[in-house]
Amino acid sequence: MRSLSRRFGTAFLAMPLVVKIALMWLIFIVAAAIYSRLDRLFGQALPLQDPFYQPFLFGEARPVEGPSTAHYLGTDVLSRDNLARLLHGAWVSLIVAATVVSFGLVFGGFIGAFVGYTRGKVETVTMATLDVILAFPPLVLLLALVAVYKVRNLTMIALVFGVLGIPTYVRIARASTLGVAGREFVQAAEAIGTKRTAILFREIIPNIMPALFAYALINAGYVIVIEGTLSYLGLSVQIPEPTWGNMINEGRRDIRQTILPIFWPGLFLTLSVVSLNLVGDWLQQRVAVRSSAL
Amino acid sequence: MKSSWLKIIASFFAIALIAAACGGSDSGSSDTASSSETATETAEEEVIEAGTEAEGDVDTEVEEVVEKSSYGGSLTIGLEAEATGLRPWEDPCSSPCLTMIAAIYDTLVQIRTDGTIGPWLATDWSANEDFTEWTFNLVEGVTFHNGTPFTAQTLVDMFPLQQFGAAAGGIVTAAGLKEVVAVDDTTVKYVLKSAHSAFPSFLVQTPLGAAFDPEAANADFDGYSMNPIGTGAFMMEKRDLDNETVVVRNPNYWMSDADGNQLPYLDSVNFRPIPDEGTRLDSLLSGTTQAMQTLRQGTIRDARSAKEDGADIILLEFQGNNVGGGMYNLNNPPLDDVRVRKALTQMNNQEATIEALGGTGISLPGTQWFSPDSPWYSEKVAAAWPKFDYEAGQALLKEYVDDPERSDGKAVGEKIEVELSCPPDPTLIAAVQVSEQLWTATGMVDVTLTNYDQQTHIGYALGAPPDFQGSHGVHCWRWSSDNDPSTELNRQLAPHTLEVAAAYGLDGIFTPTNFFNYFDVEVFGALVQAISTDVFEERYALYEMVMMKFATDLPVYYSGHTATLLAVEAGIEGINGWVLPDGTFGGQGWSIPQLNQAFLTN
Amino acid sequence: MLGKVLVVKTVRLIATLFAVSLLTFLLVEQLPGDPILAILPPGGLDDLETIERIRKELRLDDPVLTRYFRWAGDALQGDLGKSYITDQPVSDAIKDRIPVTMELALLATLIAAFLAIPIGAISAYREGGYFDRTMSAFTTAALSIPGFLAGIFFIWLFTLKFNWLPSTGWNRITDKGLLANLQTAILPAGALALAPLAINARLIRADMIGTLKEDYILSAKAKGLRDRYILMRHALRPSSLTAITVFALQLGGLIGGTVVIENVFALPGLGTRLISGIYQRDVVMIQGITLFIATVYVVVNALVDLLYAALDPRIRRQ
Repeated sequence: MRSLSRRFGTAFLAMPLVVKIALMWLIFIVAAAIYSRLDRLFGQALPLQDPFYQPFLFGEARPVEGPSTAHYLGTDVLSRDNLARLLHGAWVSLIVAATVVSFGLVFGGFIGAFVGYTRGKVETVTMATLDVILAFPPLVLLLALVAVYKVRNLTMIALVFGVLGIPTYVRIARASTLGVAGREFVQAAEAIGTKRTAILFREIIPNIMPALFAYALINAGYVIVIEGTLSYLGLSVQIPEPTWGNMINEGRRDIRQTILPIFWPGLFLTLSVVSLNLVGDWLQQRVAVRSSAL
Repeated sequence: MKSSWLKIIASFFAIALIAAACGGSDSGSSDTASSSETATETAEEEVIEAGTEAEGDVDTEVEEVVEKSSYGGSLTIGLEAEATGLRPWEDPCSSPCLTMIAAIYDTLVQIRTDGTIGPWLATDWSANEDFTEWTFNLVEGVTFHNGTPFTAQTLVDMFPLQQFGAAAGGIVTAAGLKEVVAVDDTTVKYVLKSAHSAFPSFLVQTPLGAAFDPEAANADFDGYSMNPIGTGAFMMEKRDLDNETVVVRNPNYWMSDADGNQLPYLDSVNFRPIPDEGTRLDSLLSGTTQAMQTLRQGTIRDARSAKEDGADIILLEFQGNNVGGGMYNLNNPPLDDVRVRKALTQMNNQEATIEALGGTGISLPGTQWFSPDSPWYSEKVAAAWPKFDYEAGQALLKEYVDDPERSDGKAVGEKIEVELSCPPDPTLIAAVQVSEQLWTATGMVDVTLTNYDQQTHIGYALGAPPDFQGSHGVHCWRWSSDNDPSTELNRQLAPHTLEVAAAYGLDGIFTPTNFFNYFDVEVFGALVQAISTDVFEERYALYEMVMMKFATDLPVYYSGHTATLLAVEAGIEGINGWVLPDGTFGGQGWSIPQLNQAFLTN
Repeated sequence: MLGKVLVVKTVRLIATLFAVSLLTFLLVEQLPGDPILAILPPGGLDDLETIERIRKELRLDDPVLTRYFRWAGDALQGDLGKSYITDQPVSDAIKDRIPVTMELALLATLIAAFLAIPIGAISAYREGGYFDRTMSAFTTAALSIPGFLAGIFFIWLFTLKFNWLPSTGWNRITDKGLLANLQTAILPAGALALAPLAINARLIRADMIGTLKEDYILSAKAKGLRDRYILMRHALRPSSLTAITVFALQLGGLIGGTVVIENVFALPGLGTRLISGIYQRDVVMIQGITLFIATVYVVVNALVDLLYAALDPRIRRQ
């Protein structure tokens, strides 16, 4: 445990400054997303404004839209607190991205390693099947699916994203497996008669994970963009649940007067994707360096 | 099995006949609509009324100066959306598509600004004693864009297409139209299944009233949408879907202005669908377009402020005779309990909803299906409609929630569950979030918001054959138009099941379009009576009574009347209404540019 | 050798297309709810005779597979059915709209290519310098900003704030000429080009850093050739193979990417039609356009694959 935190510490220190900042932003977003939900999980009021509260409905004055001490990032077209909505919106992005990544790493990683190591007909059939899903531009397939089946709750959206995300992970895992399977340590294990399942789990999968994980970070950024796009089109999570995408959509109504209601969610969205890309790129380089050194 | 439902629906119209006999209507055959006494004001004065201008603006003077009309020029108009199609009898049409249809087609009659019906392709008309046969005399010498003459036989040949038309079919059924007969070349007779004293109102509606060339339509049914042929002032030149539609002057148009100049004045009109509200307004301000329409309060607000900032535009605002809001499905507990409906209605802050939509001082809160400008508007109903009273609503809801006999079968004190559903229109999305917030804040309502596309939305309200019981809860809806109240009310308030009908001795009378699943025998009786008389005062009293019932039984709640705007560049005249052939003034409202008599002054 | 690859790839392509079409069909066909609701407006719903007639006409009661083969057979002959809502044949809708979508995708590819080459080359030449670092920040941002957000931002900046360009409408080249066309095309194409531009610039930079370290470049430098000459003649050429394949590969992706950009700018392209079909629940239109886009995507990817195999000797040898 201690060595793990020390390893993390050294890794963090080794990061270039931008990557450090990026990582901290990501940690902030994850923390904010979880924090925004603590309310609903434990039923206690946190010092965060209600993202649904529209003061003017209850006879209070309508706050100005710009930033103020009462609303640090101003309010949206329905006078709701932008900051609260942004943090709540982070949850949707987080859940969708986390689902895709975990599905990808677990199922995609396993399937890819399995077919890459065993080869043969199973591999051919699996890859051909996945090619069909990969034959659609991702956004178009998601649009058709989500729209046609009227998927509106977060669990279902996350599941659809998660399942459709698997094929790419399989491809990458398989490609890495093909490389790893030829290595000396695998051949050595085979030579001493280690069971193939054991090789798969002890040798192959641990060795393909770093590359897969680096991809997962970049993929998470992509997923957040796609979810944002669907939300923007009004085809993702049901309102009034805030998402960055639907906040942009709602903000477009008053774009002639102010860009702020679009600017904030746009900034959060872009910064999060930038951060994921930066950390992912950095990790990818390190993985590449390490595997070339092996 | 299925065809028997048609019989049931048909028999619903048969009741009209019975009720008419009981009601003993003895009014003569003279038609309110065509009587010329109703229109004594001059066209110029009417212009101002037709488009209520923004407060404190100076353009009223422009309207009062009678500008000399002149030929030539072309206009580009920014529309809200692309038209689904341009076949009046087949394609469902909202305001952007009506704008194009109105330029290309003529209807038999037109609605006047006072709500009465005036002549257009038909010069005059009369009904028989019991309002079951209506005879129309047609303008002579009218031809379609392709040269085919328009005669009574044209209307006869149109009828089969209309009967099965996706847009006209429902109207044919609602009007109880049985047959169209050509008496001679310029006389046509519409035969109804049962009495309808306001039948010409159905001919104002383009699905039934717009004249198209039936021969061409039969030859190329689908293609007619891209190459529409009407008798209207403009002919289709180019239809580039989702981009632009260009219509050009019809050189053989049958209509002339008061001085005998042949209409129309404009050479061509270019329609551009610009779905984004801000962009559409911006296109007008930057001169890319010369006119635009909007049904959104927020855009009206922005247009007003642009004008205050010095933009040289004329704002023609209309308070549409149309009210938005939602309906309660009375079959769906707890909405079957009037206390719940009243509580939800009282807690729905109309003013705040309007403010949320950006329209304070633009839209008026609704209390009934008719706007204050409508001849059918009733002060009595307005006073009776439950006002916003959050505490009273909460108290009433508490009463229901604490009622051990509560209809939704939940335990005392448990929250009620309500599904609030709206199509995903940006305005409606803002509006439902207001209602949701207000209801949720009581701590007694568990609101689920849903948005489905228009088709699905309607589908949920309609339900499926054979019983047509919708599965909706609280459902966004709009009601009414500038047209006669009977065109909508009568079809929506007949018994919603055969059992209900039987309970009131109305065996076999049933309508699938009673979306509220609300039936009141008095209401139904009044509606039937209202189409068997043409005496305005009598009919007014009956509709007022129906609206009063709504205020106590609350099958619906209202947000606001639909404010609409037609904004045009300075120097464009005659675009907000039509002078009818008899010199009276009319127009479809709804901010639909009326191009037939529009002209440029510069 | 190449011939055999060609045969195998073609067979695989056909199999993929078959699977794609089946999936597209099932995706939409298994919809809950009655398509009749989409065909008739609310006013027509109490007209049961019409409902029955339409049901028969569309043969909605046939088994699923029968309907698939009928649909796929028609599709092969270029008939994708007609929209329930507008009665317009889907193939007509595609034909009308494909020029807009294609032009956007091509224009975006061009913008991405023309800007990426100098950015990548100069960054590589002055590796680690001020320009390189600025461009690296730019490409990171460009790669991360969602297309629709860039589009909205462009509209706000160039149309609402500066009033330089129209944000609406589409001037067809055939009607209004190239200049008017570019006025309406440049903003959406620019928004669309951001991501591929960033990818290309990075690839070219990485590729050229490698090339610049090759012996022949070093010897050219030693011979005293001018920097620009070395950059253009010697270094860029080997890099262009990578670039061309990448550009071609991106074209497929851009066809998908235009969907939302067209919606933001309300352009009369395929994407706008797809999304309006989705909003109207126009099942036949969704099916047809999805199939078309997927087919183009598959075919373009297959062609790029072949091109790559033909051009790159290393891959050919495998």
